Amino acid sequence: MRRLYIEKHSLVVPVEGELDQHMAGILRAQIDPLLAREGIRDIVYDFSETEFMDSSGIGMIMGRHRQVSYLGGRTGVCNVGKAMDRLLRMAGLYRIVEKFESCEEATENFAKTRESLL
Amino acid sequence: MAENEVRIEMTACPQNERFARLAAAGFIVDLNPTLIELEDVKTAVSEAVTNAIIHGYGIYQEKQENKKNLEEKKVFMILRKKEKDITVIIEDYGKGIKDIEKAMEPMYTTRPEWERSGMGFAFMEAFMDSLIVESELGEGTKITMKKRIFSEDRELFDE
Repeated sequence: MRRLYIEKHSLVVPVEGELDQHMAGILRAQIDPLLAREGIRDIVYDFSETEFMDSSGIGMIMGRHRQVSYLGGRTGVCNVGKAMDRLLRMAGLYRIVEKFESCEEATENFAKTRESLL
Repeated sequence: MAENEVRIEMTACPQNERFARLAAAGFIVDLNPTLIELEDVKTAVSEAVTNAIIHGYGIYQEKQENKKNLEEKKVFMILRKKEKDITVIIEDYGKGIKDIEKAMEPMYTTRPEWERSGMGFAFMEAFMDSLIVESELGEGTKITMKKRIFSEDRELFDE
């Protein structure tokens, strides 16, 4: 399983396999300590290896976003395939989450905004 | 053609959410569903089974006490198919739904603290042709979903 990593001060979360209620709990337990410890506010979910997602996955993304948005954090998704794109759109997640072609683009974009706010 | 039925009884643990999806997918694969139809059925099943586990039986990470007697907490899945029509029934003997209408409102959740999106029923309704929710407080809940698998007959957006 690919590990979460920090790139340009954003937390990149590779969502591998199936993001259901079971997996959402596992991911959450990995994400939260990293957010707290590193003072990260921006999160990017990499969907390149995501095979399934249901509303529990949506809830996890929304929940993490709610947490970081109080601190001005942003949430992005990258490498979103057709099936996942449809689900994210149906859930209305694009109202709060930004879609990028690649993770590099996402972390670069978030870094630029952070710099401009300094 | 007689109706083909399969019944699965499973322990109410989160690991079985994936199993339930695969079992349902495996059951309908000979109807030649498109990838989208397959994903839709898997997602609807996932939503219903997840609800049974976390709401029906309260099996959730933070609630350790509910995991006692887990072997007695069962989720039942009944799968039926006849020609192109499938029926999926997910049943639990958990705590039941107090207000079904409210529960089915999009975005409504009794557990915002558990980061529930409140979209489970909305997805079930969107991905299946019909959804019937029956529930009695203290007795359990039964979800009946039907769908017609059109497979290659239907023009959906291409993969």
